[in-house]
Amino acid sequence: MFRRLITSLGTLWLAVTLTFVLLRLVPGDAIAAQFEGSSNPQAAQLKRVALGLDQPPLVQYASYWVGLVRGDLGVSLATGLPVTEMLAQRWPGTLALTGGGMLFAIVFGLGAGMARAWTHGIIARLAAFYSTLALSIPAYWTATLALLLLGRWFAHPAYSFLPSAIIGVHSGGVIAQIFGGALRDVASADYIRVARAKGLSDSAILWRHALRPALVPVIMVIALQAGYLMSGAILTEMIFQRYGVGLLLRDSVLAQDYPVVQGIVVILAGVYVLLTFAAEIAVWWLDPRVRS
Amino acid sequence: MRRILLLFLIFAAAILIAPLFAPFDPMRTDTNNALHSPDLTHVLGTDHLGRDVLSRVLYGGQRTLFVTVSATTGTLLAGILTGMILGAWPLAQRILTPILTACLALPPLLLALVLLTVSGRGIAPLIMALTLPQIPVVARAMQSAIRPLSAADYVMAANSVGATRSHVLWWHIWPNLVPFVQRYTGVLFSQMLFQAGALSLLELGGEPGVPDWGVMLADGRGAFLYAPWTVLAPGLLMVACVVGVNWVVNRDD
Repeated sequence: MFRRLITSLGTLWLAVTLTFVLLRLVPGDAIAAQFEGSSNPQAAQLKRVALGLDQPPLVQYASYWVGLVRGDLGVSLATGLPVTEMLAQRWPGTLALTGGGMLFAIVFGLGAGMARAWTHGIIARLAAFYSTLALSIPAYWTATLALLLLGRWFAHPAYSFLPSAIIGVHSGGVIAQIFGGALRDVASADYIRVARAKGLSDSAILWRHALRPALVPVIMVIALQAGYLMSGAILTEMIFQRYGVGLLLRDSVLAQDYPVVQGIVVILAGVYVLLTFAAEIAVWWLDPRVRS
Repeated sequence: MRRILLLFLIFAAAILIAPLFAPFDPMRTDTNNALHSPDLTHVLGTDHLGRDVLSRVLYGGQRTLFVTVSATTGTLLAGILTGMILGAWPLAQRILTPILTACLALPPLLLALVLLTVSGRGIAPLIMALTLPQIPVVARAMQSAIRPLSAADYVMAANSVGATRSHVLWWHIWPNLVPFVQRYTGVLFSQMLFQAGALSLLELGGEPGVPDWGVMLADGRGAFLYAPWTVLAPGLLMVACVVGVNWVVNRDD
C-alpha cells in the first residue's frame, strides 16, 4: 500500500512538471496578448512582476508547488481571479454531465455485456451490434446527430439527462465488450460447471457465481472510462453548450492562460490517480486471489 | 500483416484517385449556392460557402487519412519498440515504467492540445500531436502482451542455450505478438481518426480552407439543422473507415 502511494504521488509530480515545462515552451502568454498595441509598454511588465512571472523558472516552479500543497492553484492571467475559484464555479456542470454519463455507461455496458454472454439469438446479436457500433462512431458525431434528430427534446428541462445518456452510450460499448468477454471466459470455468452439475438455475449461476469474477476486469475499464469522459468533456461541453471545465480548458489554452490550464491538468491527473486507486481497492475486495 | 498492407494500399489508391472523381474544385466558393441541398450537379449538396461537399469529402480524405495512417504507424512502431525494451531489459523496465504510468495520467487530448499550441498549425505538428501522447498507452499495452509470451517454455529454452536477447525478441516473441499487434492496429486507427477529428472540432487540427473530414464536421456544425448533408457525409465516411479497418484486421486468418 505504501508503494502504491509513492507511485501515485510520483505520477502527480510528473504530470505537474511535464505540463509546467511544456506550457512555458510556448512563446507569448495571455498578458502579452492583453497589452498588445498598448501605449504603455511598462504596464505588461508591471503585471508580470506583480504575478511573480519575472522570476527564474525554477523559483516559479518551487512557488507553484508551495501553493499547490496549500491548495492554491495560482491566479488567472486573463481574469485575475484565483484559479480554484474559477474551477469551483465550473466543476458542478462538468461533474453532472460526466457523472451522469458514467452512470448510463455502467447501466448500458453491464446490461449489454450480460445480454451478449448469457442470451442467445436476436438479443445477443443486438447487444454485440451495439457494442461494436458504439466503438466505431466518434461521440461528437453521435452528439451532433442526436441534436439533429432530437433537437427539440434537448431544450426541455425534463430531458436534461439526454446529453449524459448520449455520452454514456459510447463508454457503455467499451464496458460491454470487456464484460461480455469476461463473462464468457468465466462460463467455461470449473466452478461454473460444478454449479451447473448441482442443478442450479441459469440466473442463480449468473448472480451468485459468475458475476463477481467477471466484474474484476471491468472495474479498471470503468475507472479509465470515467477519466476519459472527464477529459472528453472539452468536446461534449462544446457540442451541448454546457459551460463547464472542458470549455474553460479550451478557452484557456487558446488564450494562453497558463495557470488555469495547469490547474485543470492537476485536477484531471488527481482525479485519474484517485479513480485508478479506487479501482484497485475494488478489485482487491472483489478478487480474493489478489489479496494473498 | 498482409491484410493490413493491402488495406493501406487501398487507402493510398483512394487518396490518389480523388482528383479523378471530384466534380469540382474543393476550394471553389460560390456563395449564391450556399447550403444547396443535394441534386444532380452537387450530388452531396454544398456547404455554407457554396463549396461542393462531394469534392471536399474526396479531397478531405487525402489529408485525414494521411494524418491518421501516419500517426497510427508511427505510434505502433514507437510503442512496440518501447514495449519490447521494457519486456526484455529489467533495468529499463524499472526506470521507464513509473514514467509511463505518470504519462497515462495526462489525458491524450489535453496533451495534443498543448503540443499543438506549442508547435503551431500544419500537417507535421498535427501528426506529432496525435502520436506522442499515445506512445505510452501503446507501450503499456505491448508490455502486458509480451509478459506472458516471455514466460513461455520455448523462450526459456532459447535463453538456456545462450540465445541473445535481440534474437529471442525477433525470432520467438515477435511472431507471437503479431496477432495482438494486428488487432490493436484497428483500435488505434479509430482512436487516431476520432482524435484528429476532435482536434479539428476544437479548431486546432485543420488549416484554413484545406479540406479535411474533421474540419468539415466543424464547419457544418453551424448550419447542420438546415443542411444536415454537410455533417452526414464526412461523419459517415469516418465511421465507414473505422468499421472497414476493424473488419479486415479482426478477420481470422
